[in-house]
Amino acid sequence: MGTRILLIGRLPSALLRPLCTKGTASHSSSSRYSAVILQRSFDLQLEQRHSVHYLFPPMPALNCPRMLCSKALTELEFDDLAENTLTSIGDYLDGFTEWLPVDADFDISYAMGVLTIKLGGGRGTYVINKQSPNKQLWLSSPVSGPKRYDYIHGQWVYGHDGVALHDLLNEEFRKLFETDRIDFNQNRDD
Amino acid sequence: MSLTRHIIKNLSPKALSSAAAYHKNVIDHYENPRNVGAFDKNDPNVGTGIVGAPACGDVMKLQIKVDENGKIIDAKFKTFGCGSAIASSSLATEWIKGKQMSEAGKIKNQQIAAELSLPPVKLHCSMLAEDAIQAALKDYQKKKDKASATAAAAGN
Repeated sequence: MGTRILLIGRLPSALLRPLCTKGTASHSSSSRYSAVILQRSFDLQLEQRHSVHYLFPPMPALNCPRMLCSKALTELEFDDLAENTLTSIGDYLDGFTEWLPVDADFDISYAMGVLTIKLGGGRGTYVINKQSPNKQLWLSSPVSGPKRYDYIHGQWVYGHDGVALHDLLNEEFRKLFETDRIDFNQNRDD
Repeated sequence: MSLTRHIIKNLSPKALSSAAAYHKNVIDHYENPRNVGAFDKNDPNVGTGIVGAPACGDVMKLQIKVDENGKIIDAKFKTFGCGSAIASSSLATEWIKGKQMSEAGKIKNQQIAAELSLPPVKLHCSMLAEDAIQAALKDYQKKKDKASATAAAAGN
């Protein structure tokens, strides 16, 4: 349906909003950040029938208090919440070296909204990052693969199976370190 | 503090040499993408799946052409995103071509990620490709159901 100009790279949030609602991508000739302009003859009609979990959906009727649901959070509130969650998980993991036998290559690093957990010993790497446009936390686990978490009723929950992030981390880390003493819920700050 | 530690670690020679690089399979799909293009979405034999969101930097459109026996005879894709996303969707179209719809529906993101040796942070691309296949199959099924419902109603 003709040519659409799509910008990749960071756009000011005010310009992002039209792209996330139903309808075709809007033209924009300016960007505060350096961007590469691509031309594609896409038909970007993100209609409801094509919407999957990840499309920026209209607000679901979740019936929960504003501060406990990611869709109702403002960007700043989501940012704070995600930062707190990620740093508290990172801090808890940092403490592992004191009371658990960890591999020499065990390493936790947090920067720019991305928490990287290298387990060492060839066991893989976890990555948990903030996904601001969707107000989600994205997890990549060497055990169970990629998952996307929404903040619902005070918990980060994966829509497809309803399992909370902290519960999944508990389950997987308990198996990895062969101990039941691990509990991510005790250090929560969200 | 953690940020400084992170930066220093990444500047060490060991870190630089083991910095993540695109696997050759990903580069191959990026430089020689298979099945790029589009079908007419109004064609009754075509199923279209669009997944992702521009704001997230990832949109995939995957289309399938199915014959009357439920076999996918052709597939096309168009993806806006990183090299891993392009490779995942390109690979997905390669794999589903020639398969029955039920077989194509069994393709899992782990298989795509394994084939392309995707690093942890790019596993989401393979998941999106799996979702694109599912969305295209679902769209085709919906079209078929609607067509047979209309035919049944017209027959009455």
